[in-house]
Amino acid sequence: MSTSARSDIFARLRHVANTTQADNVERERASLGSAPPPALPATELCEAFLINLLKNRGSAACAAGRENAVRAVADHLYQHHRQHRLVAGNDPRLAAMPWRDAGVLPRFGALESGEQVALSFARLGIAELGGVVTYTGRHNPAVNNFLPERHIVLLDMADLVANTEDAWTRIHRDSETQGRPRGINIIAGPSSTADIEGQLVYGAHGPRHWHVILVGNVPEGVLERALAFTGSAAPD
Amino acid sequence: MQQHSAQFLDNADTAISDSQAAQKRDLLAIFAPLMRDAAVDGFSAYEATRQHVKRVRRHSLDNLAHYLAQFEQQAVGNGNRVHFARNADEMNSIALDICQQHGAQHVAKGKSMVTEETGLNDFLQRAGLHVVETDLGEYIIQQAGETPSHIVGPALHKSGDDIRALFLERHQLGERQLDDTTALVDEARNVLRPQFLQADVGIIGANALIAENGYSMLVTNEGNGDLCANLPRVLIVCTTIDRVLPRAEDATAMLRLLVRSATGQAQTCYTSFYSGPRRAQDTDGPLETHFVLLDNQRSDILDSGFREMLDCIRCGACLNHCPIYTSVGLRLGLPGAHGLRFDTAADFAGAEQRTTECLHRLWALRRGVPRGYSPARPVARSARHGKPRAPERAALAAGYQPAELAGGQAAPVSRTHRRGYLPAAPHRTQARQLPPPAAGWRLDQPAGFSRARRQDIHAAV
Repeated sequence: MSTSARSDIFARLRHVANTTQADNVERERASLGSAPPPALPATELCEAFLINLLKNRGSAACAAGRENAVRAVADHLYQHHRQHRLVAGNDPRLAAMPWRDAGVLPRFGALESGEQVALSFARLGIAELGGVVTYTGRHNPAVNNFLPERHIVLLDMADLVANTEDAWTRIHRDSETQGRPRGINIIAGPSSTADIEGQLVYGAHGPRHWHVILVGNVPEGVLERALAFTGSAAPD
Repeated sequence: MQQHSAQFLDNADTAISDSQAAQKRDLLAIFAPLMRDAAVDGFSAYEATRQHVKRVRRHSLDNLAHYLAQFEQQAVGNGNRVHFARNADEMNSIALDICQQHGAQHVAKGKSMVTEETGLNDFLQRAGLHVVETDLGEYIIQQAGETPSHIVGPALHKSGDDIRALFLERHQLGERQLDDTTALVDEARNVLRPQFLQADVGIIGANALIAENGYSMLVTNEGNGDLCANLPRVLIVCTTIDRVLPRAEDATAMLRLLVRSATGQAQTCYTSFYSGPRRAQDTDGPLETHFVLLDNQRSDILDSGFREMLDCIRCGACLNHCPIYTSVGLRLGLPGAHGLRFDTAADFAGAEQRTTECLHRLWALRRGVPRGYSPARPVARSARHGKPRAPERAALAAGYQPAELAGGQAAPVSRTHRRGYLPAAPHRTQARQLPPPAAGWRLDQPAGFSRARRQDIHAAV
């Protein structure tokens, strides 16, 4: 059934659509170029990223290096959960962090029932979207993105790009060297729904809270300016 | 959503007598466009992006055989099985076969308008499968035994009280009262979590297919589609052949329009790209993945004068501007793209009048649809070539007269007028020109319902 449906459909499409040679089709697509790059709300890439992220109802912190990042995770965890446990994928970047120095107790693997907080190390951040990109796999099981109550994401400053076109350039490069990931997830906010009376509620199925820690040489005052720009409260 | 013209008026009467739902849609028709306008105004490259996406989409459709074959090749290379379905029955049978091959009992579904089109849920349930919709809006209407009232917010015609009553009836609530929206959302979250975990098969739709790498794109705010895509051991992606775009960047360029137009957001919470089954090193993900690609007359549309219907990116923004929609919801079909069965509608008196009102409204709100695509044009053509009656004869009978001049401006549309079912009284005596693309016709005396019937309708509303 499927084979004849296939040949029927292709026969119809060949009848109605152009029968241009493949090379010419590719050339024609190339001539259309890319979409115009969207304007960002700030000239500094990380500031634009943070502004859009806060608009998406994420929360954010900045950390100068790995030690500070661990401290930022510990503070966030303790403030909201009064404990220091979390689950993280088998990402070597996470495994190498000095968790004990801040008393954080990570379990490496996929989130299980009863566990509330997951930590991911993003592959990319996209300023245009105020979102992060993760690849599914043992470094970051998909359930760690979609099932916890709280999702904390670390993002290296060097992995921040302006827009989705730039993101695809990086993703395609990764795919060439490491193979295509099964899933590429762009996350830009806590799970939400407005399906009842148009009222926005967080935690529809997945995380109710989404917190991004920008790791690296973040210029002074960027987070404060982003918070002021969006009228958000200071990070808690 | 299939219906016969004999049922058309009954469906319309049923829909229009639900005045609460009509009020909800009226509110939606006021607020949704405001939110969309704000999102569009906040994105300076909107118009340029729209033109770019339109060119890319035209190019994809012009070369659909090429890009569909490329997608298939890449998707198979990624480890998927790719199936083609000429019609709804074939898609439903393919999905059922896959479920049965795996001895599946439980199916978790993400929102998919394509499976609404094919009636997949009923089909699987008749075969004894337990199918649960996991998008909150879809879950609510599934529990209520209804069909979606909006392609973006399927349950927006219901009040919080309706939903509370529904959950009180359907769920084991004990002492819980669910006295606010958050409590209702939490209730659904708690009920649906085990459904994701126990599902044997996940079924999702796709907002785009990417030819260059064989990924599908899924856009949600809830993350329910992602749970369907990642937790069950088998994943089936049901979508249509016209969703293919050449490059990954084309899908995310379209995303910029889709999100702003659909919900007024700048970005949805989750945008995911899935390429196939779990890889050797992966700790989670489905073991087997399928694409089922439906034609269902889209290749006919491609071969007709209505090709631009396929430009539709399915954002649902046109619904919020459509007087027929605000009056009767989706019971009479979808406006704009595939689904607007004006050939069915034209089978009874009054259809032309409704078309006219729709045209006026859509033309007055040209910004209501993304990418320079105007549903008004296919609607006009559809009216012009409407079956089963000879189009010109029907148009003349309906009061259209060939006008000498093209052009003209649509009048502002009043709130009453937006309730498209109401006769457009101001038009009855004065000769009016229709705006392009229906220019060339003039509306002198739109035919419509008999006076008695109009009074019935007034009484019902």
